[in-house]
Order: sequence, then C-alpha cells, then structure tokens
Amino acid sequence: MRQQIASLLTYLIAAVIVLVCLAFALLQSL
Amino acid sequence: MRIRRSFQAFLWVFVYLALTCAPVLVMFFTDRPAGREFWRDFSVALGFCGLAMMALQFVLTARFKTIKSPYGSDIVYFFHKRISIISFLLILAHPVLLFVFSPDLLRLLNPFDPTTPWRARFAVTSLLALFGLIGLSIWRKKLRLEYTRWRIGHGILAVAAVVLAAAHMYGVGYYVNTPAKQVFWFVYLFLWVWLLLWVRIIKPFLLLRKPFEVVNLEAERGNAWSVTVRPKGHAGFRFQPGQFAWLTAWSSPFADTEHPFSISSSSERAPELVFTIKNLGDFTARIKELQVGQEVYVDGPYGSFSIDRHTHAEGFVFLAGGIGITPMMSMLQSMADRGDRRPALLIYANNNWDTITFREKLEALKEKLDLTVVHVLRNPPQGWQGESGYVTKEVLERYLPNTRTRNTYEMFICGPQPMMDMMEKLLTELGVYVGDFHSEQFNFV
Repeated sequence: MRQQIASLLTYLIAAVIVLVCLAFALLQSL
Repeated sequence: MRIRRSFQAFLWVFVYLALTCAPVLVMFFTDRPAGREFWRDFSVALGFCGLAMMALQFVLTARFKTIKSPYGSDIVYFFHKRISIISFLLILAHPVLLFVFSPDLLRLLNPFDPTTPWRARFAVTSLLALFGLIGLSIWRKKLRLEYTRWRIGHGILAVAAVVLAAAHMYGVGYYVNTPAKQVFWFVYLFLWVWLLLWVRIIKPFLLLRKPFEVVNLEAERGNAWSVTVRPKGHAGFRFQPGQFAWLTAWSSPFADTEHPFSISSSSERAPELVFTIKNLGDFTARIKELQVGQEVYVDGPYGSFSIDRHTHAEGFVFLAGGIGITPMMSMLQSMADRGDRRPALLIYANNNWDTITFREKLEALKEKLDLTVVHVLRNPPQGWQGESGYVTKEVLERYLPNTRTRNTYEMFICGPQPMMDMMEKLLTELGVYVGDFHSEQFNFV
C-alpha cells in the first residue's frame, strides 16, 4: 500500500517536471 | 503527531519538486538568451531537470533522519529506485529529441572524429555511466554481483554521471552564460560535493571515533545469530523499538561495506544493542565468525516502524514472517521492560516448528505481557493443532480484535515482500484503516 502511494507520487512528480519543462519551452518560443 | 508527519511528508515532496525544477525556473526568471526551437528548449529543460534529479538522488540515500522520518527508510529507498528510472528517461529524452529534430547533431556521437567537441564526449560518457548504473541495479541479483561490490560500483558510476553531465552543461554554456546562473549552478554543485564529503569522509570519520564492541554471540533457531554490541568509550545512542541500524564489521566505515539490520533488543536496555541476523548468504553468512571483543561500527538508529510513534494505541497486532520477527521482538521486549500491559497479538509465519526464531523467548515473554502468539507453519509437524499454510483472511479474522475495537489497535507487518503485500491487501479488505497498519521491508537495499 505504502509503495503504491509512493509509486503514484513518483509519477505525479514526473508529470509536474515534464509540464514545467514544456511550459518553459513554450514560453521561450513565444 | 500524525498531522505533523503528514505535513512534513508534503513539505519534503514540495522541496524535492522545487529543487528539481529550480534550474528551469532560474533559467526563465533571470536574464536569458533568446529562445531557440521549441523542441530544443524542451530537451534542454529536461536535461537540466534530469541533472538536478541525479544530484538529489544522493540526498535521498544520505540518511538524513528528518527526511526519512515521515515516510520510513524503505519508502525513501523505493522512491530513490523509482525516480532514478524517471530521471534516466528525462535525461535520455534530452539527446533523443535533439537527434530527432536536428539529425545533423548525430555526428557528435562519433568519439573518433577529432572535431567532436569535449562537451559531446562528456555527455556520451555520462549517459553510458547512467546506463551502467541502471543496468547493474536492475540486474544485480541476476548478474550475481555481490552487494558490497555493487554498492562501490554504484557510487563511482553515480558520481561520474553527475560530474560528466555538469561538465557537458558548462561546455555547452548556452543557458549558464550569466553570473546569476553560474552562481546558482556553483552553489548547487558545491552543496552536492559537500554532501559527498559528508557521506564518504566526515560521517565515516565520526563513526570511526565511536566504535562498538561485540560482547556476545548467540545462535538462534532458523539459521540466525544474535550479536550483542556495546559502545566502546562513548555513550552510544538511544532508539525506538523497531528501528534499525547499519552495521560495519571487518572493515572501517570508510570502506562502505555496511549492511542494515533491525535491532532486536529492548530499547530500555540501550545503549546495548542486539542484532539478530539470518544467514541469507554473503555478509550475513559470516556473522557467526564475529569474535567477542571485536570492534564493529554502528550507524543508527533509523526507521519509523515503531510502537513509540503510536502512543495512543489501545493494543498492537504484529504480523511477522521469518526473520521479519526482529523489529517485533524489539517492540515486545521493550513493552515487557516498560511494564506495558496493553494487549498484543503476534501472528508469526514460519516454514516449520524447529526454525522459529525466538520461539522460546516469545513463550517467556507471555509471562510479562498480555501477549497472544499464533504460529502459522507452512510445513507443520505431525499432530500439529495450530494454524498451517499461509496467513489467510480466515486466519486474520479468527484472531484479530473484533471490528468494534480493531481500529483502536496499531498493526505492524514485517516479512518477505509477497507476504507484506498480501497482509496489506487483507487488512484493507477487513476494514482496517490504511493509517493503522505499518510495514517495513527488511531487505530494502
């Protein structure tokens, strides 16, 4: 159970990081 | 207490995210050069975040108690393994995107071309180090790589990957071309180097100055040995029952050959510590060769798997499999020494009657505690009247406190991973609130 929560959190963190990178590239290209 | 821990857990996740995204935020919010193509900037941002994540991997394994406290050490290591795959994919995406959208850059992969710049060579070597790092970690057991050797190789490859990636970043220099960004990266990498010095030099030096001495060695049932150690010339440390420590024997703390073991003795008898270690091969097979009077080094205590973190509980349930009994034994013995008469139920799964570690000691503890011990044997002897097979839902239903009082108990699970997964599933099905059961892997490295 704790590992499932940690897994989910890992994917959430990864998603946030990718979004931040996408936002950076998008704003740079404007 | 629980609210404070939840707050700390969220806080550390936020700090992790902030530190990972900091390079991109600093790039964006300080004086920055003109943007290039979307995919190139995206791939560069992924590379920067990947580098930050690689550096932070060292923080996760540096045993800072405040970071590990809200989650438990096994979960921090689990996160370390999972996030390493993510960071590897982000870093890999950096060159892949560049090559897909600018195929001419593929020429930089040729190491024999004298025109290939060093920044590209650094990047390729860093990536190769990362491949090695991930491959050796995933297939360590298949490759039969001994733990200590793997650990040393893991450390060397990890440091090489970060240093080479940082060299690549400085070599390219596009987004580190202003004083503010250079200061940022200098501080980031300075802190990383400081962390390396702390883990590899300062902390081993402090441990070296505070050795422990083996004072007893006792054979236990189940091919296990109990090693009693006492601090030599210092006060040692206090611990919460159920916690673990890292033990170094036959070498100095600088050799990086330590292994984590649960403390199996009562916390009331600290600073004396007992580790009960089952022979599972390599290092553990040598435990019986320890000599009384021999110096060992103990780094601890660690872990959040303890009755002391749940003082409000009206009773405890312990679900142990095999050598997973060791933290439970510490908790039960501490309760006995404290005169704690809260009810305790131990459901203890083993292969057979003769290999039950602490079998007689548990019987003796019944005199001092309100303790019920239920042995579940996979291969019971003839005429066995007790539970046999696995710890099933029916077994749990037979012995767990009734549903009215069940949620006033705190439950602890420790054993082989499949058993722990099954126990967590069954307890959830039986209506136990997820915050009321706690588990800790004993082989998390």
